[in-house]
Amino acid sequence: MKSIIICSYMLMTLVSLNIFAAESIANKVTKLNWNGLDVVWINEDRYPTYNISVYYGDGALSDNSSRRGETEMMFNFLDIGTRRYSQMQIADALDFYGVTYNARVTHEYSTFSMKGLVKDIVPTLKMVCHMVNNATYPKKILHREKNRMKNAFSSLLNDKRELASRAFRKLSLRNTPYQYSTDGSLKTLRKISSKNLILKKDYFQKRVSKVLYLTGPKEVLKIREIINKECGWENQKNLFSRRITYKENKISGPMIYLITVPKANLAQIRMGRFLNKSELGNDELMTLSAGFLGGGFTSLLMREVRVKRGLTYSINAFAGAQAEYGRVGISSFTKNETVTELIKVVRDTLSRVGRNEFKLADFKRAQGYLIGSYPFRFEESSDFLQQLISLDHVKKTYDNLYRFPETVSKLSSEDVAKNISKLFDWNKMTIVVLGEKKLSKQLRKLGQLKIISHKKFL
Amino acid sequence: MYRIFILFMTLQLIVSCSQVTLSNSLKQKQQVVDLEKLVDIPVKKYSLDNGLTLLVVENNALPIFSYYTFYNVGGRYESGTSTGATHFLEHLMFKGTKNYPFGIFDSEIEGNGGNTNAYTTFDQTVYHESVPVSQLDNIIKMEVDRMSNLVIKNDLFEKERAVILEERKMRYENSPSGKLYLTMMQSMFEGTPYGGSVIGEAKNIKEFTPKIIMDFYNKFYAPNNAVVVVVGDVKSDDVYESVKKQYGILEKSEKFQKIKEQRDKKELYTFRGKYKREINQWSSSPTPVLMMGFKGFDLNIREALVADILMDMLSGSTNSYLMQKYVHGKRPKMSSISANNYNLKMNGIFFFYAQLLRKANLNSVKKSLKQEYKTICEKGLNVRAMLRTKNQFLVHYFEEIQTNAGVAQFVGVRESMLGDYEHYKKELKVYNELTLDEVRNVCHKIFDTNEYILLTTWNKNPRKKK
Repeated sequence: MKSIIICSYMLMTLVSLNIFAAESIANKVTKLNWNGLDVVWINEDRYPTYNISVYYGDGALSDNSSRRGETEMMFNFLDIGTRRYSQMQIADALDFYGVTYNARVTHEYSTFSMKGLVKDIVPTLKMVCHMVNNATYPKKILHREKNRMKNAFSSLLNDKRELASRAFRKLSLRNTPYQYSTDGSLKTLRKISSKNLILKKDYFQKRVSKVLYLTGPKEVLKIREIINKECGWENQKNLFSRRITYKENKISGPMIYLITVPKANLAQIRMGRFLNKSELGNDELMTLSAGFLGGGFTSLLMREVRVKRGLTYSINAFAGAQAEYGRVGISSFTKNETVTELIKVVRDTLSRVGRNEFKLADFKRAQGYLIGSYPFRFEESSDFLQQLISLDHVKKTYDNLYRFPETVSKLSSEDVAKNISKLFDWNKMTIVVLGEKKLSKQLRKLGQLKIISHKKFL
Repeated sequence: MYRIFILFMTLQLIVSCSQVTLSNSLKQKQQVVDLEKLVDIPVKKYSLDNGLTLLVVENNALPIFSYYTFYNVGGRYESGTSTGATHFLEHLMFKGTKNYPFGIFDSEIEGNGGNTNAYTTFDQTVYHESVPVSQLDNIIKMEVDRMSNLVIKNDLFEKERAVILEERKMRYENSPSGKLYLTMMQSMFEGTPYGGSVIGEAKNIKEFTPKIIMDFYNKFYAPNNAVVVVVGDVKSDDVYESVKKQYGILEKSEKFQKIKEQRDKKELYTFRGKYKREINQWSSSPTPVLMMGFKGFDLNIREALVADILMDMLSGSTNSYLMQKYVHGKRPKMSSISANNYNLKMNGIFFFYAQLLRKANLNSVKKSLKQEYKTICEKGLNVRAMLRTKNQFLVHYFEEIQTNAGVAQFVGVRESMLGDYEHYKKELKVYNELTLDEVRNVCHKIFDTNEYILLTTWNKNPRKKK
């Protein structure tokens, strides 16, 4: 009892401290409008550096079913050639400025981000504007880059964690619009041509809505004219933002899949499921549920699986949502001999949580972690910026972010236990084990098993 | 709050010497910064009578701080039969002390919103926490207890042994690249204290007893073998007072001095392996993975810094020599290649790491690389690549110090490994005054010895060691 009272006092202190922090954080954010283009600027003057992210209101859902991966490829290969510059010349200019840039394509939206030194922001952005308007995806270079991609797919066997996550995504999201990976597959990759990529680029440039996010000192605002005139990003009001509807997915389970790989004395394990839009609760409750279950060294699963039994080096749980769907999952690995034991421990832990059989102090600790760790979310301005993008995408106000500690402090252990039972409902779970074929014998004891070669997921 | 002094007034305009013709508008904008004047982290350094070194950096941007403890002990102090002891001990440091029994340490930290972890290298063991500022005194007390009052319980010891064996399987046994890297390090440093394995041989891990690990702890964990770094929303003098009060009661230790005298002898680290040879391992990798190690430099010498620039000049850009020749060129053979400079405290290596394309012929690539290194210092380096690399380094420096933890790591490594938290200023000075000739000279020092070990792994290699 004493520890719970202390915990509650600590929580109150943390919440009040973090409300203060949230106010100063909110003051850093300014919303602007540059000729019809929404701009969100985080004033950050500690370093002479900047971050820029361009949000596009469409993602991999725009890909033709025979050309999955097209959007991601379109963004990733913007730098392989334009009407004026070769791949080498583009690289020479951008690398010279020390710029790093990358695209992130989700099913629902995409971002193209770059960071570098403020002193070079103008020439860098001029080059980027030139690329988004004039990329030609030269055939020879595209062929070569596609070969590299094919090689990366073939070599996924070397990264079994990634391969397991890829298989898990496909299997747990089967029969939904999200079941394919945004980077496509060996099969779809072959069908994407230069022409397809140019059309895709033009679609994103001319028809998809955009929002500009940037961090840096006030000096970075001097890019306004380049953004409006050279990139051509203005008057976004009537442009397209994707929203989809789909038939509710009703998966019954648990379904167990063994993804076979040669020669492995360790098995990767993933468990989780797809969340329909109607199942998405509030973000704070989802975050706390996943954290209580499998976040950090003191989470329930870490204690049960690693600390008490030494079955693995790491185990974690996640729960996340975009605008129209969500996913929950548990990720771990263990030696071949203890695969079923680990799965059973997870199942029993979930079951105990469902019956409210846990210590309140453990819950308070998870809650304290989320509240206390709040300021860390703003340490790196690029992280802060990504949180704002996510909120805008799901059409929530920034107050959700600023009031996060307060909201979390109001959640009860009963709320969380109920939510975990719902989100991690064992009877709806997809369980993916990536390992040697011989594991099938022990996995069959857990329920219906389907064996698939890893090659199906390349 | 620490400040980065931005001296744009001192920007040096350096004329591009690129062989690539770009439009004038692009060319005119290319500037290179006077690196050494750009970064200045105001560190306060304190020394306690018992030998503990404390560094504090104030940053009041957010109500949080990071706390790093660098112990000057790593895998190189282990013997051939005790590989992995340092790392095993690192795991056990989270399993309870006299005043904070098992479960309290991480609960206190995570329950207040913090995080904690640790890592072990051949040279160091580092423990770190990032927590809300209200926890400063608590963290100091807990770290003092970890330095002096570790408790090892048999049941927890056994559980952790199992966890470490899992970690080993994950990092090395089931990762073709991880396994190849381990083999490269052991072969390059064969017969030296770096020729072991930080995570330890499975056989050794299985044979450790609590007593062996506790002896290791008693020998090496002492205030005069540690550097504490605190960065965040704190007041330097207050931190010093608390640290002095809590750590001040611990006594200086002489136990590790003799071992260090023996193990720190420079001559022990002289390369003594068998070079100019190949090692071909079987793994499940469907495409060949290749590493080629050369003798490099220890952290203390200027060449180590120059080799950092060299590695990026050779492979740090789509346009760099190795990337153009093997990855992005007309006849690509690899999906990726990187040059890497790894400097340890007493010695170092320089190595290539490449992943071949499916259709590339491994033998032909091997042959090509064996010729490549003989001419790379002339063909692979130019002034423009050097200027580009300097800019990239500057961005990288700023990235490293974005967070409190980043700053703590940045100054702490330099203080504990080089005895100078401001060593980064010397580094920036070297980068700033660097000439292409100097990079070439260092390049020749690495490659002209003609001594390398070339390692490959994939599923077409014979299963037995060649």
